[in-house]
Amino acid sequence: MRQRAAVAVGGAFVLVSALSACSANTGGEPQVDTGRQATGVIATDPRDSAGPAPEVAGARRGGTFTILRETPISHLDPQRTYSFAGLMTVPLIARTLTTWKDDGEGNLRLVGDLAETPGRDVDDDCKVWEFRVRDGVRFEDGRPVTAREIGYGIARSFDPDLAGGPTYLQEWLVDTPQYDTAWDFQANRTSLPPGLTTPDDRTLRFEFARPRCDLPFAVSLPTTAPLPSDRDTGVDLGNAPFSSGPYKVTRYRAGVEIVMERNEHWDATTDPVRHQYPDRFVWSFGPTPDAAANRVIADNGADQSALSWDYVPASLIARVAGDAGLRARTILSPTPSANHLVINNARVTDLRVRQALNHAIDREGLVKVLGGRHVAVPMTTLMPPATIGHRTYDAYPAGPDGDPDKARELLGGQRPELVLGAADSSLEQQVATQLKGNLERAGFTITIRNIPDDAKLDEIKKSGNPWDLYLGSWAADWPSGASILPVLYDGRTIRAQGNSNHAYFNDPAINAEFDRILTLPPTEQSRQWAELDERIMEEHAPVVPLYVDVAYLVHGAKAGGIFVSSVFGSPALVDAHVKP
Amino acid sequence: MSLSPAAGPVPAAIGSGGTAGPPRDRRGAGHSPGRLAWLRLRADRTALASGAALVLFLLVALAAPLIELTYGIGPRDQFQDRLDGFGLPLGRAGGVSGEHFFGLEPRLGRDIFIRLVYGLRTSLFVALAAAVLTSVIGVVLGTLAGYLGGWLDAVVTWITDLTLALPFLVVALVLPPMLTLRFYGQRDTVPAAFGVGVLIVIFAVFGWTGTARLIRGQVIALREREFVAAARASGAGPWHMLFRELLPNLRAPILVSFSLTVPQFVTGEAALSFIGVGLTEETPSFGRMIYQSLEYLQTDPAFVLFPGVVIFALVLAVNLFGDALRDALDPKSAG
Amino acid sequence: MTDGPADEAGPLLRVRGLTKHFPVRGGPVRAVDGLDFEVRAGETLGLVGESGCGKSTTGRLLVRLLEPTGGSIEFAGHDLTHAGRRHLRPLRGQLQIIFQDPYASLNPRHPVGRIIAMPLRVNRIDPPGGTRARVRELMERVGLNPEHHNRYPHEFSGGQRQRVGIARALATEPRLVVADEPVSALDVSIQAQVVNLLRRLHRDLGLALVLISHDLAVVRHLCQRVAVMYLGRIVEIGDRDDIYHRPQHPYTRALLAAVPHVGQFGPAGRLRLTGEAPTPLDPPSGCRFRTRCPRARERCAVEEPALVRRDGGGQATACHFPGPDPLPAEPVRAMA
Ligand SMILES: Nc1ncnc2c1ncn2[C@@H]1O[C@H](COP(=O)(O)OP(=O)(O)O)[C@@H](O)[C@H]1O
Ligand code: SF4
Ligand SMILES: [Mg+2]
Repeated sequence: MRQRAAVAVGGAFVLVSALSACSANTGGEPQVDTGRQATGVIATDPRDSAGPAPEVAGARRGGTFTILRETPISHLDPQRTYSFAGLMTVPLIARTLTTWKDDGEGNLRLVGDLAETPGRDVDDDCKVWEFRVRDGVRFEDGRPVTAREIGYGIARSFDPDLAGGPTYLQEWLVDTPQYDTAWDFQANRTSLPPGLTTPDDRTLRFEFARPRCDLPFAVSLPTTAPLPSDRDTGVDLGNAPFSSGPYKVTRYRAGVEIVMERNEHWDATTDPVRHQYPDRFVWSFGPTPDAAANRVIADNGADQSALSWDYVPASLIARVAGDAGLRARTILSPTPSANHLVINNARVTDLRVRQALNHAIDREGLVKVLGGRHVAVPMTTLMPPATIGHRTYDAYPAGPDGDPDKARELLGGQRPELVLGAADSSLEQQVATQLKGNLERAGFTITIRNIPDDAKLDEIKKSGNPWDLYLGSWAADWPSGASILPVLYDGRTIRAQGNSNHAYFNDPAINAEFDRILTLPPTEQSRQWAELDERIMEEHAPVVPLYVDVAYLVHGAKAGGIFVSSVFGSPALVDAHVKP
Repeated sequence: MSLSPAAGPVPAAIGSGGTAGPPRDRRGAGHSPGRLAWLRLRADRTALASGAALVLFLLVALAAPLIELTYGIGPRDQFQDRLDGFGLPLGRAGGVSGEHFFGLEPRLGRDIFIRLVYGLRTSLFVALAAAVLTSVIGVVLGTLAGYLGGWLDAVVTWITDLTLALPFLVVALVLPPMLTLRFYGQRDTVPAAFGVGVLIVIFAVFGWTGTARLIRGQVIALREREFVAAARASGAGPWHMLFRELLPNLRAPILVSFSLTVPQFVTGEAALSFIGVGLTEETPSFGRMIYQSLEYLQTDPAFVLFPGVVIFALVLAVNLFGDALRDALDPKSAG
Repeated sequence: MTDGPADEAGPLLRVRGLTKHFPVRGGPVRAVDGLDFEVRAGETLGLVGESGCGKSTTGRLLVRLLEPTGGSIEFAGHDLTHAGRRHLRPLRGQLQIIFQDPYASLNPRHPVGRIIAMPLRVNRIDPPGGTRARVRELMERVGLNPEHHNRYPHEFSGGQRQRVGIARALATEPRLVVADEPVSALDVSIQAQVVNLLRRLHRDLGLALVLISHDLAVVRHLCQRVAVMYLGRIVEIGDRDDIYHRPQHPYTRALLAAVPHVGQFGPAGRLRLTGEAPTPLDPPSGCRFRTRCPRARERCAVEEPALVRRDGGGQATACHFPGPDPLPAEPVRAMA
């Protein structure tokens, strides 16, 4: 015991001296690109869709580019891919009908990939779409990619055994969410689903029962990756995909490592976005975000050309950001993942209360609770700034740290008692505590009720849920208002459970607006969504917009060409290269 | 055991075989084993130091509202304007200043000192209350099982095994939300005391088995001792047996197991708070602070240091005092 | 069979067919297997035998710390055999026990005064002059300084502690005291003091004493009558002089032979006890001693000898071939 006491006292001394050695923190604002506006469009000029992609400044061919990530990618079957890591990797091995030309700074352009253009709305009613397949695209065995293989890829996405990927095309083609019973892929392997035809080898034609103006966006998802039917190995395709992109999988060790090497049949002149700089890409799974970040910061050996896939963990942010030597090796970018304080409109029916809530929130303080500007940047709109056509506005200007007086004024002396449902995770508990402080300062009485972390999403998706407020987030599959506003605020979609409209907001006039805008040509929609965004906030304040997630990445000194995808908020690999 | 010379002034048993031992202090009153333990404890510097520290901790915990009053800052007050853009405290050593003795928490910017004072209150209350409950349940069941034996012993042993087989984490995760729902529905405010109470109950429900087993073993050993037989042969009833003959001999093991469970519950509360069980973010608690602080080891070591040192000192003091107590009660084990 | 003529007022303690079997795995332990004896008021009976023969079990049965499996115990006209706590209560004070281990038999947490007063307290007896005075008197009587009533057992030596145990047994003025090896845990130098104390107490207080001991010398010193036990049975019982000078049972003879200067009796002095006593889990058939008996014959394995009085005196022996005389010429059967 005497020994124990000595060790203890010694330990305390070490800690105290470590502490006294540290210097004073004088602040200094980190630089984050917050005012970024997405200026996305759908490319109308076919030249935008033409290859090759412009060379990346300073990029060279050769070397091995390594990606470190804790969680393995479970498979690389394009039709089953929906995870961010998968969505960012599949473009290396598979091409899709359309794809995003993205500079990582909000300048987005949807271009044809397998298709020569991002599609043609045949009757200008968004019901019939045609894509003309590009000439010269080849599979890894040299066979040309035709409309047939693209059609087959879409058809196999109906297979219930291959579930897990996006379901837009499937649902739209058969016009029902139960697409796999509406059309049985396994019984019709040699035919195509209803509505999908290949008039000739170079034409793919979609016919929908209803207007589907977002089709050009939807076909950028890997559902449209081509596959010759004779190479379909079912679920086994996941660990031995058949490439149509610049790389092919040469080694697949489940849960440990994936190695991709150049596909010599890929022709740069046919590809508007991809490059083929490194000799190989290696995914190495296992290291925790902390370990991976520390490895690339240390910058030794193979880690010099490595990227730590996960965002810099909160525990390291201040250190990494404070190290000027690392600045050139970090990437800081807002993502399209938007976070709101969702108001349960079925309970909080008084507009003035919802408006007061909007005035009360101290977004600056909230960002501090989240870990600073390298984690989150404030937002005052329904749609994240990365949305095409987004316009910044603040319907309830309250300054960076909230306007409790204005909120009080709106409440006019009443003291609403609201229940804030919060997941019991450590971070969300702190966020809830912060929000409660803000709101009580403004005259609300807030009760925080905990919801088990893993159950929270299901619970708030139930229409009768008992809470008035909860935190919600939304990351759209493509940066168009159509994939955000109607999904989150169309009151006609409210069901008993599984609601994406967890604000339970329902307004006939707004619903009518959704219907109207959805039938407009995609190029005209973006401005109108931005206007509707502002109108919903001004007239109804159904939520309190809080912040968008910020991506903060670190990589080795020789890793180049990495940018954060403006669509998915994850590192894009199409420009990746190894510096000499 | 301690830095002090081995129990010097403590009288040893009278060794001579005569009719009387040498005359000693007033009225020839003897030293009861309890008093001897007390004397040994008083002669032990570690015991004194750790005991004094414990008293100090207790006083601080009891006086928390008074301290808040003089300090002028409450445990929920936020000072986010004194955080930098990363949510880290400005200034030296995690924002230590004349105003904030131990600096500020990152993120929410609450005062660490006053939160520690209240956290101490929570932790000590939970640990002490749970240890008392644990001891009561353990002693009652252990004594009954050990003394009465037979089917009662079998039943208690069965319940003990059942309790040991219960998955602590699962129950700790499932029970509080269920109870909260049962008592407060889905929207009522849940008072902090409820969470504290549930935590205490969970600790007690899972903690008593050790004490019960220890006491049961002790009682079985005591039951075979002839002084128990002597009392029985004189016609002593169960009340006399339990309270006059057995319990006085169980004081030492009860104290020992109590002193072992207290630090266990302090750290247990810390561990559970971390996984979101028990106390909410609003209740100042050591556990939450410690575990939330861990991710700041590199960026704000002061946030790790202050709560760490305090909980460390508390657990150390309890353990050292417990050890000293054990040694004092059973000098043979000293070493 | 009974031993000796019944006393006018009848014996204080009458034991008939007393049996105690402990249920253990592998069958019952026949610790005590049919004892018959009596103790008159003021009489001292010694109970001797090797370790494990059932002496302590007998002692505990007598004070009803154990409940007999069979047979009966009658004390002062009351049947104690299966009496419950409530029935025993008024008799407890009259029937006390002194234990072997002076360390284990005193509650370490109580001052000796409280220990001595315990029987008074649990029986709610308020002695004339009060409990305190009674404790002082008892302490004086057993040779302890009454000033030390506040002290704790650990402050006393073994001999002093045994005195405390004796004082406790005397507190309620019992008529019968069972002393189970009262001195065997003490230093030899102190044993005599305690033996003398017991003798004096018996003489002064006129209480009956059942003295359990494996030590034949102690028993000879204190007891008027002696019962010899082997494997849960009495093999010989009689007056002290008869047992020590005219032992009839081969086992008694062997026991005495093992102790120098206690008994001397001709050729049988050569008798030696070899090996260990068989286990009471599975006692031998017929005479239980036959596996170690130098006189054992065919009959001994078949027929269990009854405890029969010899010579019309107070001595009874359970043996088919008792006595010191050489056996008639019949081949002695070798036994293990
Ligand atoms: N509680 C008990 N359970 C089982 N066996 C016992 C118990 N008490 C005594 N015995 C057995 O009974 C026999 C007689 O024991 P005991 O009366 O203590 O002998 P003694 O006092 O003559 O040495 C021994 O074999 C002993 O092992
Ligand atoms: S009966 Fe037989 S065996 Fe038993 S003691 Fe007598 S002679 Fe020995
Ligand atoms: Mg014995």
